[in-house]
Amino acid sequence: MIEFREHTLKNGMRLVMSRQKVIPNVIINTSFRVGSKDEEPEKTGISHLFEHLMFTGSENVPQGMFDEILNANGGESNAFTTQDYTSYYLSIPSTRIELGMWLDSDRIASFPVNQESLEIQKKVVLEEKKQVHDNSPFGSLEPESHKRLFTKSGYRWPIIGDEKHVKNFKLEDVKDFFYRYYVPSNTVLTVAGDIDYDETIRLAEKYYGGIPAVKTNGRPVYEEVPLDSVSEDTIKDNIALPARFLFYRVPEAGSKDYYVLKLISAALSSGESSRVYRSLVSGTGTASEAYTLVSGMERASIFSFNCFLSEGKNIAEASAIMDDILEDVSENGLKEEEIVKSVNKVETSYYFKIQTSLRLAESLSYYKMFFDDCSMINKEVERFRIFDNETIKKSARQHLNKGNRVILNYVPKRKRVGND
Amino acid sequence: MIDRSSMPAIGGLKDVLFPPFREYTHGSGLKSLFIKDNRFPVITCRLLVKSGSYRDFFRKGKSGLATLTAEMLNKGTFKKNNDEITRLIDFNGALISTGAGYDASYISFSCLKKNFDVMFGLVSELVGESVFPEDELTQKRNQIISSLISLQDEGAYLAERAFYSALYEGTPYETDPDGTPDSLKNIKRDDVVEFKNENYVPSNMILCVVGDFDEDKVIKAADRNFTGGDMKIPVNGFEFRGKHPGRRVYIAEKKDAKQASLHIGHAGIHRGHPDFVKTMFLNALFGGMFTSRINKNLREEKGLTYGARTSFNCLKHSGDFSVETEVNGDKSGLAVREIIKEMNDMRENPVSDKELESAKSYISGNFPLQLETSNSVAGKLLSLELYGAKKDFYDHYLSTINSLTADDVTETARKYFRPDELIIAAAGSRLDLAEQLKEFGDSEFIDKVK
Repeated sequence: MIEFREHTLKNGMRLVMSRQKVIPNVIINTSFRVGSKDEEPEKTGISHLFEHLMFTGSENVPQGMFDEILNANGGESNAFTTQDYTSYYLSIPSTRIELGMWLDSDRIASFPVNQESLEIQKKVVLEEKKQVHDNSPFGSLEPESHKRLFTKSGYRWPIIGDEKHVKNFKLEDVKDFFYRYYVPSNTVLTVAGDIDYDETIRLAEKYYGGIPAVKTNGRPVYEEVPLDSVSEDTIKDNIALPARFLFYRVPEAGSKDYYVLKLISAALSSGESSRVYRSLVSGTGTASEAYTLVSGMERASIFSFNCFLSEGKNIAEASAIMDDILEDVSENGLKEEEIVKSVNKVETSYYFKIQTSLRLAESLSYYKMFFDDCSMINKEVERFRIFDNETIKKSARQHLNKGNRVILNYVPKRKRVGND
Repeated sequence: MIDRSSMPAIGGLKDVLFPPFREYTHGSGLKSLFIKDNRFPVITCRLLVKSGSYRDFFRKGKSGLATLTAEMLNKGTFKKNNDEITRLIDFNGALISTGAGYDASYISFSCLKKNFDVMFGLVSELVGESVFPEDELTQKRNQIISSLISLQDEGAYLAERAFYSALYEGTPYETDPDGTPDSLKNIKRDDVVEFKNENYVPSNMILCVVGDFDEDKVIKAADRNFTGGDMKIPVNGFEFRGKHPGRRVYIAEKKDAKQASLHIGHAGIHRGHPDFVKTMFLNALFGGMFTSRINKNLREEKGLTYGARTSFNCLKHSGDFSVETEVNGDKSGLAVREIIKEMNDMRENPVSDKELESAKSYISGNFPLQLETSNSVAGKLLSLELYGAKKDFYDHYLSTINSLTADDVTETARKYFRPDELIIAAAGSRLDLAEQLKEFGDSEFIDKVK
């Protein structure tokens, strides 16, 4: 059982704490409930750009000194942006927790960006976009799939945003964004590691509790229309071997169907005895790699089936096998053995996940932010034990429906010339 | 409101001790390392074979043999076929992985405490009684070949391979440990059987078990399961040239490249070298941290890249130093100039006290994170054993780092940074790169990935 405590600061910011005494360090995780789906269609990528800007200095931390001070005190930091939230962490020796909170809170207490760092980080983000998307094999998968899976909501654009939007952001844009979303009511602070609970509350009140609680406009209303058709497209990429991807829009993270589909996905493709591995990789040699996964988001999730073809194999072969696998689940569900082994794997992985304070803090922030329920950290395995085969079949029939999906076939842009 | 204008006072660092472990040498010559960790009901077991792709070199044209052998272990034994093996692994909820690097091969698994005995028995069977079925071998070989072909879609991989094959040309570290599509096609079942029989012998293996387990029970099981066979062939040392006079430029074509992938460096030191810790510290200052000179210059000041990092890669018989980054194609010349400038600066000018103390503090304060999971501790111990380093290395690690002076850093940089001997490997648009990099020397185009 993971032990945790909660406290609400005087300005409404939520604090979660978990004491772990393995090493003399602490993780300070600050998560803001804003991500790319909350952006305006003409200002995409601002959540992620802002993530970069949070490390460039603030009112009392000179430009470029955030990580300098942190590193010089035995700490380090990083962050990530999703469609739904932005999560920052810094790690620091526990005897310096107050310094960590000072550094972290200063960039939330007042607008931390200046023109010069904005311009540099725009360039860095554009290089990141090239590295992750434009210059990377299958790097267009996220933008290409999202724009077909979603037509109205902010899930339809990639997290990194449109290049033109990123180039055009002005200081005013990022300032508006900051004052709208980086406010106490939109923030969860989680501190995990070598801490004393009372002292952590005292320090959190001191550094974060005084940040003004302002009322803001909130986020745009989420609107999306059902996906009720099939789209199949071929994308030419700088790749040597083709690949086929199936995407299904499925219910949001935390819903019952989400967990059922997570179980289905685990059963189908974890381990070399799994159906996906046996029928696509080891048995037929059709693919060098094939797997399913469920990416959970706040308002919808995506069930993907990815298949990277072996040399000399074609998409039609893969396509038939992939469809057979999913149709069989809709018709017959999963075998008892498949369910048991999936839950066993989930359980093994769980114990490794919670061994680091960083992963623990991230999970606690997430559960607090979206479900207001940190105890979910202790139910990650149990919640998979409850599903019977009827539920599994029903969920597969309803959500992994052939008539309702996005298909992307990636093919080589040019014929391969013997550069093996 | 509080006064935020001054930094809060900081406390000193608490002492960090490397977790206790037990070493045990079995009658068979097998070496065991045990770390008890009862926090969670899980156990990780790693079996390391002290032979990796280094040995492939001595079977001409068959690089990738060590990897293929490791990946074939679960394909069938005298008692079980692949289906029975993988079902047993998955049913027990175990996470298993096999593979090979330059200096070692491995098979490891993690599982719940209650499933450990079954899994340990199974892995022993895989190591002792594998039969390497011919049809499974064909399938696995094709799978690895396809993965290698796809890897060549990535600029960073092309640059990395161009760098390593130039630096280690004619030596066992020249090719990718996984081999090449061509070399894999040369490997026959007999090669795999022979590699396994020669190298997977107790006196050439290290067993490391971490978690909630009974040591004496594991010792007895290992004594029963891992028997016989001494290492018949000696480890072949190798003459590495080490130094390459002059700068050389290697360019690999990546069609429609939107960036240039750079992999730049030269020979370094092997893991057992007495200057190992000094080079680690030099690297921290130069390019091992977010605020190191290289990332600060290329990313935070110039916005040329999403990131740049450097490393001393220390292997058993040799090693290298390199800088890796991805930049806009028309900025690759500028990026290389800046890297050379920073290397020279490190050689010529002493680091400031502030920079020195900052790096020491970063390493000292951050080190405990590397001891947080017992798995990470196991990795460190296995590495010490594999490379023949002293087991109390980590007891003195931080005090050694903290005793280094600015003069030590300059001296280390003068010894191990040789900007005039750089191998500059780049992947991207071939003609653009040739133009961008021409000031650094004649360029050679790389057509074949090794």
